[in-house]
Amino acid sequence: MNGTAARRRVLCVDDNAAVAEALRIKLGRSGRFEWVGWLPAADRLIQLAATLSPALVVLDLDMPGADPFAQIAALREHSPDVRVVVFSGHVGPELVEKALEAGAWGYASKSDGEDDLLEVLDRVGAEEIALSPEARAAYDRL
Amino acid sequence: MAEPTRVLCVDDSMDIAELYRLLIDAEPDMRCVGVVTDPADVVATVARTGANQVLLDLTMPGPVTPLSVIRALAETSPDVRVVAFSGYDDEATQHAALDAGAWGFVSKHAGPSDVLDAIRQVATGNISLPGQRRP
Repeated sequence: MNGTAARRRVLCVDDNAAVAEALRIKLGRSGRFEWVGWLPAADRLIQLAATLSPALVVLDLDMPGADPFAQIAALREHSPDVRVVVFSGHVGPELVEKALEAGAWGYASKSDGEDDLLEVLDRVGAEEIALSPEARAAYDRL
Repeated sequence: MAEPTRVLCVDDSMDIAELYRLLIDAEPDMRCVGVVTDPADVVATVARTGANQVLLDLTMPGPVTPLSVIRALAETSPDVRVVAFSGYDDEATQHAALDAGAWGFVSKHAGPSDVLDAIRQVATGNISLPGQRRP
């Protein structure tokens, strides 16, 4: 991406503060993304996405509170321009399919690491559906 | 298999630095390429040894502070990644290290496996912080 391109705004939803902080640092150093905030649960995602106007939401699945798949579907309805990328330690064919059916644009495995997540975010930002290597391998097992 | 990660161990206590050397050299995917006890020697030793990671104590005395070493490495050797460790593991200390350019932070109270895990995570391009759950 050239230096004049706008940085894509990212909202992170993960109940692990250390994961969110690591992601904030990594995204900041890439120069390609603007960190708009972090939520420890998906409960207020719909309202805060409307307020913060992220381009991308990085969403964990294994969190207390609201069902993340229902939140993905609700976000698609309320803020269709906001694209969700699931970032989870749990990766299986059914999970990836369920996330995509709910309206997620991308799925990245926490095992694949942050560089693969950033690549997924770049591609989703460019309006592609994107999966990290482990998520792709899982989806191909369907 | 990828080349082993080349780690420089920096602590003002030679005993602790040598312990890290033993710990790292027991692993197949990493190698300690040197031990330094004075922060002022880090940048030159990195260049001399070809280290690509520095395991750096954040609480060392001397006119050259560990944070200034992290900043100097980030500026002069951006491919060299620092994993900072400290007995003070509050958020302010972590933020100071990461804002200076460190890639990882490990508490001195953490176990050996946490240090090795941080080195591995940083080697693969991840930021490593205490409390991250990695599957």
